[in-house]
Amino acid sequence: MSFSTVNSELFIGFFENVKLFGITLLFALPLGLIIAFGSMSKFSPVKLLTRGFVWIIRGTPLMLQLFVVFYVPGLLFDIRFPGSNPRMTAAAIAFVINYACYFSEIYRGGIESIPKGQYEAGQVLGMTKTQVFFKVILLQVIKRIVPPMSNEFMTLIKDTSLARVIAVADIIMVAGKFSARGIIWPLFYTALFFLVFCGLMTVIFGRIEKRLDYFKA
Amino acid sequence: MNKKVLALVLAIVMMLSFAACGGNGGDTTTAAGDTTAAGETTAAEDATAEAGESDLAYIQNKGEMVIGYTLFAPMNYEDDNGELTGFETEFAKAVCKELGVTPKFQLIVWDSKETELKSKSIDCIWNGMTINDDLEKNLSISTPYMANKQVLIVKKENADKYLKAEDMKNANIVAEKGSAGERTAQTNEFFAGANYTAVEDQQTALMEVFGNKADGCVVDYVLSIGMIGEGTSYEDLVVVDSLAFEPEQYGIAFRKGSDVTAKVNEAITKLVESGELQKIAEKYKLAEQIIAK
Amino acid sequence: MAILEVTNLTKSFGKTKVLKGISFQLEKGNVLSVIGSSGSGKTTLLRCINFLETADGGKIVVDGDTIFDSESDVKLSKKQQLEKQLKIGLVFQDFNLFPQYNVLDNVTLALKIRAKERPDFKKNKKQIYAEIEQKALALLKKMGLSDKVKNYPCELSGGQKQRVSIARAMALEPKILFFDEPTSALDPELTGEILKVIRELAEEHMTMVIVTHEMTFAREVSDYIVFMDDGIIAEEGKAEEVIGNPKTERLKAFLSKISD
Repeated sequence: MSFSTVNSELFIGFFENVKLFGITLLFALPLGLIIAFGSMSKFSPVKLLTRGFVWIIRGTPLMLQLFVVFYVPGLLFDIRFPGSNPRMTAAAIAFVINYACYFSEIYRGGIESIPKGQYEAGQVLGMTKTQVFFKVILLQVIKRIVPPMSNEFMTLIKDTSLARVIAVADIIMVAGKFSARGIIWPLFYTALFFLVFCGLMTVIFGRIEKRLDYFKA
Repeated sequence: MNKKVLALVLAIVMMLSFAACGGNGGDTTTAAGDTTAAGETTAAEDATAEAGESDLAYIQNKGEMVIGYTLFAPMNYEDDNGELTGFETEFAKAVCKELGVTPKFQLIVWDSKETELKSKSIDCIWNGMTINDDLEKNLSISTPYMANKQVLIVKKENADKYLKAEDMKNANIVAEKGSAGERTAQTNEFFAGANYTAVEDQQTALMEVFGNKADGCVVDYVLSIGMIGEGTSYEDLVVVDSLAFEPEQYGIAFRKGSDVTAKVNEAITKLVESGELQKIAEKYKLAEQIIAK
Repeated sequence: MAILEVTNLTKSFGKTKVLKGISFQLEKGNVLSVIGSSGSGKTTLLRCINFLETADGGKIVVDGDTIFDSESDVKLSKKQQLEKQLKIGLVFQDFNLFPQYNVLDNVTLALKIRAKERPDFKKNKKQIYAEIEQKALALLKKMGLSDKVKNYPCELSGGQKQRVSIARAMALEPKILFFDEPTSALDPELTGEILKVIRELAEEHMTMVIVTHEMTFAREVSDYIVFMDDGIIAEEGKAEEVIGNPKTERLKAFLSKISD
């Protein structure tokens, strides 16, 4: 088994990890903000419902959520999971929901840490609540949540390999194929892919932090 | 409605039991074990009651049979071009041809095989599956087509060192935890004098012997054929030919009550009569193991 | 005619009555100082008039326009309410500048947002923004901050921040400017520059209401002083009279405590 064959197969596997990573961020980042607003709602049924949901999602293993999303429709309702790539779709749904809940708590922490005076200053200057949020609060929140977000992003890329429990052919699963043929080194070699990806992310987040360094909030 | 709620609760309980016994990644031959919790049968009957009378029609309407497998040479593995091949692969293709459907091979996680089957994510488990009572109770199993056994694997230079029970005195033996190999190593008189250690899976067992951490390991014979010897990481490991333990049989699993099983059994008989099955087995050095008639 | 008329304003937090019916009037161009110990309700009064709290009862009229009336059935839209509020400006105790904007942008932000609603905005965007910036620069010059317009709040001293915050409030051209203890968050040596600015505004006949602890300053800059105690106005009158010749025991006690 040549190095380049292993390499190209692992790359195909890692593409699945990156795809799941990208889809999760694309949907979970905005969904998390909606959930954050729900959990801060002054209307208590919405608040309780949202917080209950976040508790369930954060309180159960992601692996279990993958099983539930992918298998339960078939087990209970005799519906085969739809789509041309049902396993990836199911994994994406589970990851988006799971990560949106974690993001929502980070958003909530960030939003609640902004001093009340910032809202009041916006209000007495005649801004609407929406204007205050987008023109005054949001960037300060972003600055505050960059460090915990960078943590979540790195956890996410590594978590994507969990999707192999519903047989999404991720890089670890591909490496497993080699192990099944008695070739073990590719499994350990996959570490390099994650290390490079996380290294890249460290650099990008470092830049973002630097870009936001010009003000103190 | 109540039944659905009950089923949901049961499904979650079942999921939890999966989570509890997860992590046996490389396990390809051990029994399903405790995943078949008592309550699960309710959910299973629910699904099969509907599937029962129409499973064959369901597959024929789709025009394809989704075959759940894990990679395990020489049964299902990828050749150097990345093409799926192996004894089971070719066998399944031949049977599907008889049935007039297209085989679609779906890599699965072995621990989830029953769930995959019941949720219709796959239509059969066809992967050198050892038949046992639990599986027979919960699934529909084809006629046994291949025999397997547990064997002792050692380093090439020790091939003549471990032949009799006395040779095993103080030898360090490993096997996958919960496997037939473990049962052999712990209960067979041959291994009475040996020190036994359980390891995570069959590959780890091989790795232990390869890395001189153990003197020998008890593994599945069919599995070992593809994993040791030339072209693998375990070139200097060999099977002790004179020994054989715990004979067992392989079968194909379908949904409980499925009418596909009978159809597949017919096809297998045809393939035996035409000599095609034997031909495939010879290609993978498994001819001696075939028991289907 | 009075530019500000507050009539029988009440406010409770839970069971605690913080404002027990406050009424006063202020003439255009005059400066009113509100003094009183903490807990007397003076900050709540200021917050109610600025709509940071909603009063339970009473009426507030600014320049003949009723901006708050608990008896009224007229439902105002949020937009209309905000417009009415803008007749009053507020300078906060701890500035509340927007940290991510530089000094100039802090002053222009609200104006630029409002400009977007002008019908001719799309056509004259550049010109409108230029006018806003001219106006802001003029205000900042007046505040002695011409060399700081591109700096961020974190680069400024407390006194400079407070001057930016005054310019920011002035930019919206309020009829009355409120100050919430404008010097409390500052080091003593920096309070002078703020007092100077307020004095200059007073000379220009800006109508102002100042909640303060600075008695000397209150006496010097204000035309009227209101002394609040336990949710009511305990004493009021011309600055000289109230501070120089207090009539109630409470005010006497308060003044002697302050001068200690």
